Amino acid sequence: MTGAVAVSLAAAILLAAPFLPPAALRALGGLFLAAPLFVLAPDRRLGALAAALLAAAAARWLPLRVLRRLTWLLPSLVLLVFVTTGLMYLAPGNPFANERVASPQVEAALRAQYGVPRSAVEFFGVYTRRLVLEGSLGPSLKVQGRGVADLLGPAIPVSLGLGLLALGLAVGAGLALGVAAALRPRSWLDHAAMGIALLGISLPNFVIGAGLMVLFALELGWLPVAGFAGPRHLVLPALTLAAPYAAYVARLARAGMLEVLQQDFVRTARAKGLSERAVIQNHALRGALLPVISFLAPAAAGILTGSFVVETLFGIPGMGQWFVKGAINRDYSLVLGTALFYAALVAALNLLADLLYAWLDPRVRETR
Amino acid sequence: MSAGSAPAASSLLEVQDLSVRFPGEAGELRAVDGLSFRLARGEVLGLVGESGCGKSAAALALVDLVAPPGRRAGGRILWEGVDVAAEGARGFRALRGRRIAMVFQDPMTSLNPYLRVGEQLAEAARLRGAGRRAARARAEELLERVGIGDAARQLRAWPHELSGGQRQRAMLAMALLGEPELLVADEPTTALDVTTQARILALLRELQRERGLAVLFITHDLAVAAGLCDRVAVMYAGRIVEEASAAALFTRPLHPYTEALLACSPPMDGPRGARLRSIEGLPPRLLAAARACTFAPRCPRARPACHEGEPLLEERGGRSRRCIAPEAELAEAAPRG
Amino acid sequence: MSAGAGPFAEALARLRRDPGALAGAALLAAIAAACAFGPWLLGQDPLATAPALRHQPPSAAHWFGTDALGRDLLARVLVGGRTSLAVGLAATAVSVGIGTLYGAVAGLYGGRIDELLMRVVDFLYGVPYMFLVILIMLLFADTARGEPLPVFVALGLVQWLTMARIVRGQVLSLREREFVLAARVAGAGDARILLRHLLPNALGPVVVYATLTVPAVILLESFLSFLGLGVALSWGELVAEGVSVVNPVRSYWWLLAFPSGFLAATLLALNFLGDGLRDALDPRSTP
Repeated sequence: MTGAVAVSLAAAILLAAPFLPPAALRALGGLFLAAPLFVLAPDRRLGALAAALLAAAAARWLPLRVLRRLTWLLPSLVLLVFVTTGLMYLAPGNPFANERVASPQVEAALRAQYGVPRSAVEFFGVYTRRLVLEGSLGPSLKVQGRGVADLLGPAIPVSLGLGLLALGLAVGAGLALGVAAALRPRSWLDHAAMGIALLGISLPNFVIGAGLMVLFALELGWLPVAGFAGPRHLVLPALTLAAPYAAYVARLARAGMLEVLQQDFVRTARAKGLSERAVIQNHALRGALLPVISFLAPAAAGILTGSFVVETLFGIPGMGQWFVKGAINRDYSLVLGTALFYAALVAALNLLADLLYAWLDPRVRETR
Repeated sequence: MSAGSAPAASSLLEVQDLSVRFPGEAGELRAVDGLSFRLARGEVLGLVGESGCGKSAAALALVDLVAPPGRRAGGRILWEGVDVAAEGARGFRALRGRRIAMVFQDPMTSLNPYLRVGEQLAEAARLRGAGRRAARARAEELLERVGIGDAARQLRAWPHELSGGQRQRAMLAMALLGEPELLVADEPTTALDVTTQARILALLRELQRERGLAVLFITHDLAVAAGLCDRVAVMYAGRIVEEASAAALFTRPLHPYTEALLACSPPMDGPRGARLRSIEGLPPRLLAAARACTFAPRCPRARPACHEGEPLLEERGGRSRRCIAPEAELAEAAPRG
Repeated sequence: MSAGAGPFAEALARLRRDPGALAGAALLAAIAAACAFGPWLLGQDPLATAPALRHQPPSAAHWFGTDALGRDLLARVLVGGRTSLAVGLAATAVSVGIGTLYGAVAGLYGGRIDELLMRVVDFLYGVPYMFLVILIMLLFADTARGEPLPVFVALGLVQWLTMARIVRGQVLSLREREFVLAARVAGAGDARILLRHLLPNALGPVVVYATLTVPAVILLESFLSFLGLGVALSWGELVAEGVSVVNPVRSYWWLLAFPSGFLAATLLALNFLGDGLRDALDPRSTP
């Protein structure tokens, strides 16, 4: 019952979102922003109070655009969890089918114990209720005696670290390359930079990874080959993950920069007597940044999914391996845990990119 | 080519034989082809001509801001008697903003949309050595001076929040913050409505008198040039065809092109229902060096000699003209009040 | 006489003058031809195992060497190319088909319908899509391992979103132009307007994006292969095999180099071509 209600509500909000009046958006947006706070707070009552305050503050002060995005953030997550659940139930096999004794009574008992009904919607309801009311991700269905949160906990900083490092590298290197190329169009630097960029998007990242591994780890021995025992182990994986995105960013930055350099206001800046450096730094650079910022969110999402491959290649104990293991073993709770993590991360990054863009381009701010 | 090439003592700016070329599909276009003129300190010179005659290219060339692939292709630019190009790019950069300030045609796109108005203006003041606070104060001061009310608040405004007229005023303020000696205004009012246009022109005149600015005013609008300028130079096909004091030019044009231009504007007191006059033919394609008078194909006064060689710009009695038709012939035409 | 004959002819002329695009097209044609006819001409069986000939470096008998089961690598690369190219084209076709229709409807009808349709797209955009794709493939791995169809569908589903947005944008801006108004006045219905007037003019960006989608799809398939979820014999799988035998002791470089080389060459060619098309159709975008 809960499940069906939650899903219908979520779908309704999503579909109605474009038609909702601002007041409703503010209310819902604030509410949805505060909800995770409530869920994660150790003390229920304190959590409720803090959440209420946050909701009120957000509704009052955040720009409408952000609140609108928040409004359909939570319903999206709800639907995502539902769809994932549905898919898993749809697939052949179930978590309890491979147990040593496959009798129906044992299975029923296990199902009751773990709270995994036969119907997807019911399970979804159980899961959601448990998540909201107890703030728990539930027990892992396959790893005996361990909760999903216990398993994912240590993996989160690893994946986050890897992902953020890769994102930083991608944006940093990409911007530098792209802007440098744009400042000397058609020079050998330009051609070389764009050539490298093209190569970066024409090779699968695990090939680049293997190449890096061979060169820096096996041949030169500068960096560890695989596994994870500290930040040094993240260097090669991060470079591998970052490579194609650095390439995209370089192309975007170059195109954006070239376009801005042709604008009238750049001519005005030069006519004022500014040094070429000042012109680029203070006036032209934003033109290169804006398309890159727009690309940030899809880039982050891509890095997250690319991390499955890279974590496998380099043996990094991150979220990716739990996702794969969970899916293979039909460990529903584990898979949902990873799904939630990824979805929440992507949403947060989307929001961040939105805010950054608005900060850089004031024309976007008032609208809608 | 100018017949007299010794720089006059009081010349602030002297342009000799300037050329600007743009590569095109069919060859190189000579947007500016042997342009020469002089501008004295505090003088307002109008540069008048139809669209495409090269006026804007010339203006940009003065501070070496012709956008590639176009290029300054020849000639000398003398600032206070010194050849600017002698020091290469640095020479021009020293001029920009500090000696020669520019105001462009389209205020919508000439201001940086990502920066607040105050920031952009203060930037100009800081180039003159002012500290941050002083720069903001000067910016506010100048915004007031150019007629933008509530200047303190407008400092924090974004360009897209200002009207067209306000933006152009802001551009003027920004130009003046550099404390230039010469203001180059490239069709500053063309993009504005008529009322605003009048106001901006009045403002320009005030500022010019106040600060003793030299102004190079570029426009296609003769009436505007007449009202504002001390001297007017008429440009055709990349070079000057006539130059005189405003009063003289408009009452006694001595070049068939100027004459024709003036005739195109219907007089207020003319007969009703009369046909509007225009100049027949099209402006020349600027591909090859001129071997004859460039206006001859459209000139009602053309004679065989016009097609044989290019007339020189001749100076006489304080005005110049590039035409072999005798002055008397043109002076006969109906005088305009 | 179709409305778009002029601008397309111009664009084609511009394309011909672009060395990168021409090189890309030529390379692509060469690779496609090699994959299509090569195995038949050379007569080596990509599936024939020969345990005695394991891990042979390139030689006269086996130009690209052999793999862990003694199979000829050249034949495998060429046949694998057929698969990869087919996957790329098919998935792109799926995404173009769905995306174009969806975007066109949204753009043409506008208003509430557009809002609704785009709302769905925005939502789907926010879903970590590859996540779901991988999940689907993992879950059905036992029963559908190596089958191309689920992969086509899954990959095509990922890409149609951007296509829909592009087409919608184009249709929206074209809808207000006079030629559409003229067609309506002449009595044309919605479907006709869509087909004969709007879509041909929206074609430009669609073609560009499609050309750039093919390499993206081929790359995605290679990721799936790396995780063991891809189509049976494809470049992605060959590259994954090559990567898996990287070790410090013995280097079977040919297992990685040749498939990667072909893959990279194809993708480079497609990217050059796509860039060239984009510049040809919209010259303002080049400096």
